[in-house]
Amino acid sequence: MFNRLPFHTQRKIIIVGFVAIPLLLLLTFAYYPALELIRLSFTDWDGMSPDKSWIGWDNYKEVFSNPEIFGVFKHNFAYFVVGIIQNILAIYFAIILNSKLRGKNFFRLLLFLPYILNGVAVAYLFGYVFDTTNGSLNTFLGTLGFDSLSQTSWLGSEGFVNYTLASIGLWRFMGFNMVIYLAALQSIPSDLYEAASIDGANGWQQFVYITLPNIYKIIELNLFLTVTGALEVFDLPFVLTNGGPAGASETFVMKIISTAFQFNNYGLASAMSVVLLLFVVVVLSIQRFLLNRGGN
Amino acid sequence: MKLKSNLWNGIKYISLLLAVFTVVFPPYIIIVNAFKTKEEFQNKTTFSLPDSFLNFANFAKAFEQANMLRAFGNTLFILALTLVLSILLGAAFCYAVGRFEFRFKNLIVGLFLFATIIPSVTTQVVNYKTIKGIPLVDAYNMLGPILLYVGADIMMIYIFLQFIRNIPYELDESAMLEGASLFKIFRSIIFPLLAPATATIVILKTISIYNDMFIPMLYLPKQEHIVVSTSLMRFFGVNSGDWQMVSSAILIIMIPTAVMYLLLQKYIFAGVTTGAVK
Amino acid sequence: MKKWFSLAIVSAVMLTTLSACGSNNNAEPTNNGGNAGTTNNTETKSNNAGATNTNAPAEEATGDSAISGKVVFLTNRTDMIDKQYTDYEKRFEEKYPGVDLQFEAITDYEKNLKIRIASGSFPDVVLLAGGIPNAELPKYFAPLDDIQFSDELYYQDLKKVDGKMYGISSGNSTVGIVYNKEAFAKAGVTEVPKTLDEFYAAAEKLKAAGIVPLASNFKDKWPLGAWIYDVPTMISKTADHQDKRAETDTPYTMDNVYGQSFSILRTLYEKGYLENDVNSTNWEQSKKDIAQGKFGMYLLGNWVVNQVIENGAASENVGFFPFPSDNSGEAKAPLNPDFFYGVNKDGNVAAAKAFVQWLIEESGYDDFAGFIPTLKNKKPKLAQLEEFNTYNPTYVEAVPPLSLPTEIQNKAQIEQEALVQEFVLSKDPQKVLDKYNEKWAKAKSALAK
Repeated sequence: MFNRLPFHTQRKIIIVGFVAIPLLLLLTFAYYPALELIRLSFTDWDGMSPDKSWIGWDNYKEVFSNPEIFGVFKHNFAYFVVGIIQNILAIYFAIILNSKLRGKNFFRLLLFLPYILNGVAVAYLFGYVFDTTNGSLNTFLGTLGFDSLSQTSWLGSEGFVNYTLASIGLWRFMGFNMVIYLAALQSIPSDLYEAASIDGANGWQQFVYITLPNIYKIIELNLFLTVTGALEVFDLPFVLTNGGPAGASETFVMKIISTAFQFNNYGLASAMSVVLLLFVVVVLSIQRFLLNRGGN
Repeated sequence: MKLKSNLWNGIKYISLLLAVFTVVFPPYIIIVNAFKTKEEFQNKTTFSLPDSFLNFANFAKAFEQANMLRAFGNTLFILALTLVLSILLGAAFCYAVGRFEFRFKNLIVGLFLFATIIPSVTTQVVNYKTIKGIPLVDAYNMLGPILLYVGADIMMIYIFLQFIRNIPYELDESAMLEGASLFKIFRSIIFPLLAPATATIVILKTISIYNDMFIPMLYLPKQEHIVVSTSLMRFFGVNSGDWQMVSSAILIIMIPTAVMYLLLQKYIFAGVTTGAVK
Repeated sequence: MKKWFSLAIVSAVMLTTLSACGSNNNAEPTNNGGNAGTTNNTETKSNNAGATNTNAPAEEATGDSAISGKVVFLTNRTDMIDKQYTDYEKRFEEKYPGVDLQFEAITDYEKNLKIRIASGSFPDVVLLAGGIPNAELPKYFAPLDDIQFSDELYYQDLKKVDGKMYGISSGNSTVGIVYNKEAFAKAGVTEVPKTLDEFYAAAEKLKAAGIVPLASNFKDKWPLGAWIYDVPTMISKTADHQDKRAETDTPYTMDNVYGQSFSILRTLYEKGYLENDVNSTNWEQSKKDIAQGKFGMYLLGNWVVNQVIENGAASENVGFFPFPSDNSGEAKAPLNPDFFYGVNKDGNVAAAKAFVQWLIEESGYDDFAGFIPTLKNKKPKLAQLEEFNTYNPTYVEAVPPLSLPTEIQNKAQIEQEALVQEFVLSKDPQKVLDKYNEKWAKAKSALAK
């Protein structure tokens, strides 16, 4: 019987038994393909054929020497900026909804709503909302009397097309981030706040000295998701603008996909993926370093 | 002081109302248009209400044409199996990681964290090969997506871990003193106490699987394996010119997640972390 | 974040459905003339058209005995599942009782097909476009020369490698101006334009009447294919202009076929003859707008005619005439193949070949899709094609694609649709051409090494 075994042995069995299967799945479906990716990045594979030849660092040289490949990262920047705003809004609303407030369940319910909507449907929907001539946003602006604004080509302006697209992401995921923050806020023992109130701390001080440190891990997670999300975004531009106008909203992952499947250069696409991965690692290391220093 | 708090309350409500408006505006268009007839849709403005909210013709047509009965059945099957497996595996994993110290623990947790940044678009080819190579999956197609969905989910692990850390260790200790095995502690103390987290994860995972289109598209191309999202996609293909039809199809697809969300919301919002020994 | 990402992929996959409604040519660097998008939205009951098989069945010659077992057809026509395909299955299995015919329909077809080919197993009958270079075909596909068709076929040479044919065109189309006759009448355009100047004049009249003259569907990129593949064909009366690019370091110049073709589109744009905001066009909506006469014309293939009709236009109200690419007054038109049927060499080859033959000769798919049939003597069913032919256009047939230009283009990562977009929007189009020529020359010399 299991419970007759000494705890020491039980512990071993539990650790091995409980960790093995998830770990196996992780290795099979995340790390094995990732290693394959690294291997392929040194080949000229076309994505299909059984033959591929080893070409050394050529693909990497191409990634770093071709400004067209690297240049698209500036389009991703908009998603990063909007992602930060999204997190700030999420924390803001999480705090509001964590306080005493009439109808807060209603607000929680609604703000989280976009997240449960089908992603494709949302893309469809916003294609309609942002349409220049028939779109509901411009119609709405026209009704409010902003005649010049109501002519805006939301998805057709090189200047802010990426911000338009990123704002759809904000619409969809702000509520989700908010719920995560809310969960974290609610896990803070309320006696901490009571004690702080007794000591005379005001709202802001409580936020800085109690709230922030306690949701620190979640902020870190959400920032992590924001950065990776910004670097890897591609669904919305893909569906709504197809990278247009004239390539202004093409993101790095879109570039990877077209390289692999349209230009039949899977090797180069793999190298681009590896570079993307390294890029994320670097950004995260910097973030961790700065946050940890700030935390200490 | 009083004035300040009133001002703060005002800001709160104004910002909330603005947010609500922004959130509701696009779905509103879907809802009002789903009930319109073709003529109404063409002749009225997008914002206007339909003549009747009892015009279910679009819905009936969409439901039948998109083969949604079978789609819902298949989705439910995949969902049920995935949820059971991944919740059990995830909770157990987090119990092991959250309660014990062991060698390579940080490495393993790190691996899970790190996996999220691998851009999955480019790993498709390899994963497809792997899945096709597993004999059982080749015979039972539905297992492929299930296997992929069960695979590590960082959000789940984060939520479970957070939760387990908030369950006082004294509970484990006192159970041990009473002679319970570690497995029993997990099964009858930890796992039940994780219920609110489990509910949260059920919702999040259901939403993501329910809305996923890529995996079913690649792994379940057969008509008999149609799931909700692929049925929606096919419906788009046939009706994408008819906005009122598309709107009703979208609404049908949205209703189950919305209902589930309404029913289970208290698990998410209410006592998310108050549980345990309070 | 996995969720972000998987949702993202999901939507990406939807691209086809959203932008082209499953048309097969979004973003493919084919050099055999853009395959006209063909997934239309339809419940047309035209699927029995080919059921009356008057031709002597040829399958006796190949031997019925081998034709049995499971045959899977991977198609991009998601809209035909549970409709026409149910009927196809019934009819085909009636003819070959030993066969179990199955359909798998996917969108984002070419990408998915590549993934499946790479995995080592793929269905028996698939659709081929330009994504797989001809030289690679023998690795995966069976030669189809031994199918004995009742008639001569169009495009036997396009998928030919070492004298063997690996693909059979599922149907063919030409490209010209599809227009709303009422809109023309309302704007006072009484005769279809025969020269480019007349065309501009007609556009001006449409514009003056409050009608958007030409729906370019600029944003979606794939509809611009006509300006890359077809208008240059009309201008030069040759179909090998895409191949010829490999001979030069400057394939895109102002005075060659591409510069001329793109300049026409640019002129239309500058004069306000295209959609109000070309960066916010909607393909599905445009079909309705053409049907209702809010938009006047399309420059697309005949396959779009049925789609406009399904979106509310009366058939007699939709016209089709050759696009006057210059002022010569001579009517010219390309003839392009659509997807090719290919047979997996490791699959159920005999039954798959029988199915391909059946698709071509008996299914009636070509009529359903509004194609020009691949059987040379079979008349197209589409009334608009007859009208088109009354203008006596000189047809320019597509030629076998060379692999070198495609390789250069892929190496240079040139997407020609994006080139057109930049050319039209840029203040200085010459600079755009220079930029692309530079990329081209660099890739060309890199490949020559």
